[in-house]
Amino acid sequence: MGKVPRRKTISKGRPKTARDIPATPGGLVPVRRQAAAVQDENQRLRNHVAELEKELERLQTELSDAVVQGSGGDRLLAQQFVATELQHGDLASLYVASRRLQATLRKQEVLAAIREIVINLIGVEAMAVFENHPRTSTLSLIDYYGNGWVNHSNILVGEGPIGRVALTGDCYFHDLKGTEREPGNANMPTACVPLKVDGVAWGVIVILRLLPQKDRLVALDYQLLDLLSTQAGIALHCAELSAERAAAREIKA
Amino acid sequence: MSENGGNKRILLVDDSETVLMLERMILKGGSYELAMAKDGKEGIAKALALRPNLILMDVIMPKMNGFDAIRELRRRPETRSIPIIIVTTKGEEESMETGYLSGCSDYITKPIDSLELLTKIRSFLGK
Repeated sequence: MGKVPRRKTISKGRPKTARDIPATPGGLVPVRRQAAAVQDENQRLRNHVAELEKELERLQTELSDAVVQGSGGDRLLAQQFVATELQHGDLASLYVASRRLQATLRKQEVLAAIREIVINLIGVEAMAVFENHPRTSTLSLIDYYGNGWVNHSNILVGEGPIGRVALTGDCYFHDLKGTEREPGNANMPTACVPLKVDGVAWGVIVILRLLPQKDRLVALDYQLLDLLSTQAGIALHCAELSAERAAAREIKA
Repeated sequence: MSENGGNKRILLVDDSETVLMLERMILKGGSYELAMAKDGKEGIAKALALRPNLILMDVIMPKMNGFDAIRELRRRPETRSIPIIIVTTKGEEESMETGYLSGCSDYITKPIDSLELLTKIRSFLGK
């Protein structure tokens, strides 16, 4: 396995880390600081994945040597190898999710990335994204996948699990399969996760149903949802700011 | 070894950039040569051109779905014997039966479990 090249995340002339960006209230600076923090996190994940890849290579070599020599230590090495492969797989999922969210400044593409992450990396049959409109205290459905969203086009902030997550900024988990729920309660979400920007819910990701073969959310799913909560909201907010800036430029021109 | 004498070659066929990226990350350490295709038609074209040692095939894709692509690959003598693992979101028996009827060699369900994927690939390609 070759040496993994370090990924260059921030171009010359820009602040290198989140700490390098001075804190000023309002405007673009807080968002830029948060975006830089997301890039820092992405780089940390990348470095950790690279370290695990080196560790896997080392363990594989040691394991092969131990098997050839017939020494008693090969079982322990095999356990270590499997544990490291598992950890590598989990970190790869987190890195891919982070990378996908940072890959674009177009709102529809960010929404598509969120959809793909939730469907493919968590394993979901029906999900949606709601946007919070603080002026009207409502949430509107802006993206969805699967069935079950007919009665969810607009929701009041504070109403039901989705509205409460938008109001409080706290996650909601109902970690049971739809078949195990009370009768008439099949449309209750499995999970609602706030998309946070500066501590406020920009919107909410809602998981209605997991895939049939998936009994419940596992540790990696909670980590992915945590990553989405902190990074997807910023990505969507940055996409909106970028679109506003482009529109303002067009008007000027 | 692949036909050109290099590392073993795996063709990844999926319309999701997220899944392709994850599969690449998981398989990167295995000294495999990886190629990508974004739908069934492109998958067939790349399989014919590259003659991979194994194909990972998604089911629901634009232009041509995974089952139809596998049937086509099994029909052609050049690709008939290539092991094909389908990667499906549906874990029901019916979906798996359709997969085996189309000619797939094995299947895994989404979300992809990295250990399961590596184990199945190693069982076809060796360590």
